[in-house]
Amino acid sequence: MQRSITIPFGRFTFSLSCRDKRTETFLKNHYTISFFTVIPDLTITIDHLPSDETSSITSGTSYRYTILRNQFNFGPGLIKGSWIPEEKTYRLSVAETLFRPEEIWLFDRFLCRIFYTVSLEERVEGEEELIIHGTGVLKDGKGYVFFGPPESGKSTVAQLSHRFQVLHDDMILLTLTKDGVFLEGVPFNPKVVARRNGRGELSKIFSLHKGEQVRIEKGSPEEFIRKVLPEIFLPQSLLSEDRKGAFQYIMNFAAKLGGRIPYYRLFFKQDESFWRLIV
Amino acid sequence: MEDIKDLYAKRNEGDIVWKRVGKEIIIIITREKDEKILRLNSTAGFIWESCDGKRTVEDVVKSLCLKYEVEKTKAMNETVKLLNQMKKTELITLSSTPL
Repeated sequence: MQRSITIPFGRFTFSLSCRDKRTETFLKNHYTISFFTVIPDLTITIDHLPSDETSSITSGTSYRYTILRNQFNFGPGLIKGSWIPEEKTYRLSVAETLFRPEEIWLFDRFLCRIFYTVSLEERVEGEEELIIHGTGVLKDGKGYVFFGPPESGKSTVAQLSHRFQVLHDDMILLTLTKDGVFLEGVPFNPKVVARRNGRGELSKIFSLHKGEQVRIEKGSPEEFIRKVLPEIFLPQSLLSEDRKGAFQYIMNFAAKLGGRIPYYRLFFKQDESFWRLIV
Repeated sequence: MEDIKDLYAKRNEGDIVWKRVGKEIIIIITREKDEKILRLNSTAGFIWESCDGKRTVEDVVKSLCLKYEVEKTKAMNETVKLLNQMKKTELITLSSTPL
């Protein structure tokens, strides 16, 4: 028996379908479930990989990837599968170990690749989408993104923003349109905060720095681009190995973003006082 | 220091994405095992943009001196140093004929 859950991911809806109850329960807890019954844009069927075909997770695992026509091997040896275009279906065999709280991040990244694949295939004219490592917060109808390298304080800022609508504390989907730049959370469980759905217009972007005194300094678009590039999740289609094209896309996106959204350096302490400076 | 002033310098476009942002040039090396983001200041950026494979290093230095009003020997030394670094990281190719 197939068990399915439907998750919204940006402008798309994915149906995740598996055979066993344990995986279904895990997926239901980890992913944002659509409130409405909708026809999914694509279906992802999940079977478990035989354990003798499974490789172990090491650093850099999420970047290793092979593709041959519609067959891909992510990990490799952790997610194998194929894309069946006529059925709009990804048929996956996944190492069972990934469906655990400490390892699910790898499957999340794989879903981001699927999101990029469909986003790039079905582009809306004048719109561009990117996933960035960062914390996204909506406050008084305005959207803010806080980004920085690991340990810079993204999760801390999310925790210190509990009075507002924290969209996600690790990955934020940005959509650049002619009417504005919009932010929303990805449909995965955040690291430390409760999951909150929502979408809003991006007002300001901050790079995070720990400091003795709370302060905000205006940064240049050049500095913004330099700092944000390593924090962008590379928009590479599962069906392509065009890394250069993906990097060109993020470079152009970051340049447009830096030209449209004010960028600041935020020096913060372990309290909420930085929010007084953000107006 | 290797004498490269008569060689032609050309940017390698294969694994490289670059963009001028304000006064800086930002370069991404997209090679899977050697991914890097580099930033060139105004003068280094000028040299980078001049590496079109049609001009020799000496031509590039002449243009640099005109634009930034720097002394030629100093400009040549700094340019040669930069281009050798760029060659080492496979950002450019140096050739005795136009590219």
